[in-house]
Amino acid sequence: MVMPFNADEVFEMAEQIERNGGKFYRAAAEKFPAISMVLLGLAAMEDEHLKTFANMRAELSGTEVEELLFDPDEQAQMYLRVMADGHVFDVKADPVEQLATRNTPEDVLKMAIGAERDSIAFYVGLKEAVSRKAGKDKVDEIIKEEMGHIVTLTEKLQDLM
Amino acid sequence: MTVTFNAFEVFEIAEQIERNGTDFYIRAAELFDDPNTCQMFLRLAEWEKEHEQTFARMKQQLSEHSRQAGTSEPDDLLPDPRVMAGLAVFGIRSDPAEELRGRQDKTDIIRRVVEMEKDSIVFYHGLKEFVPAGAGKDKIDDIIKEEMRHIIILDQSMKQNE
Repeated sequence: MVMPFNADEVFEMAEQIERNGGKFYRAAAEKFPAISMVLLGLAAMEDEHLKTFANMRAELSGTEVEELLFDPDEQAQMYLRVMADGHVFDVKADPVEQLATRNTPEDVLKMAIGAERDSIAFYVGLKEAVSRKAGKDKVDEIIKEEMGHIVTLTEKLQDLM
Repeated sequence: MTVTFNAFEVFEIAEQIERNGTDFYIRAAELFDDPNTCQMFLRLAEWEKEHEQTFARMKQQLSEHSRQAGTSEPDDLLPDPRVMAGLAVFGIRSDPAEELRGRQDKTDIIRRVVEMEKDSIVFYHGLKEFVPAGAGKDKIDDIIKEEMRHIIILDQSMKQNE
């Protein structure tokens, strides 16, 4: 039986995803100066997302979590748990270490596209799990921005190929 | 140059994702003698088939909608086709038989298929954003929820295998 997530754990993981993203993009920018402008721009956006999730988490503390979660069958929470347990999405992996095996800007862009895909897949579950009051719309905005990152990364990759 | 897609093409990619999923699950089922694993993959194949039919019907409705509106091209339903072009990388994948080549281990196959399910969730979420309410946003939402359920089922099966 998959244990459902609580809201604090969910937002903590979202923060970790964004922290990893910012760290990855900065390290990649240093390693590949030719694409550093794009990567540093994306890092700055991930920092903003981190602040948004941290604020959402802070607003949750001291409130009735039941009011904030809207997931009657707990499926979205179970999905988030599955995504978080490391089998399908390893948030504990150090993004800078993962970068060590990437030797070209193309490799880094492909890895970044995969990481953005993973974060969207997690946030789609997060959006299902939280109520409007808990910031469903904010999660939706972040998903749209992450989709925009995929567009930016894909276009940059096409330019290089 | 950025390649863009119109709404028909986006629905065609969605259908192809589901077709690939169905083929992949049927072929994966053939690899296992264990009835539980075999049955799980066949059930997942059936659900993907139903999704393909849903997308085909939506594409048909879109066609009727644009005919009634007097337009021959439904491009206006996708305000920024660049976004779907960016996400198409998750929809346009190789032959499922190729994907399975060299994979015999159940955990390895499930890990691969979970990646495919994540691709489809992200692609469909993008698709939902660019389809008007009347064109079946809710149906796409239901399919996204079902794909999430597939990941839960696959994860449980992977854990039983460990």
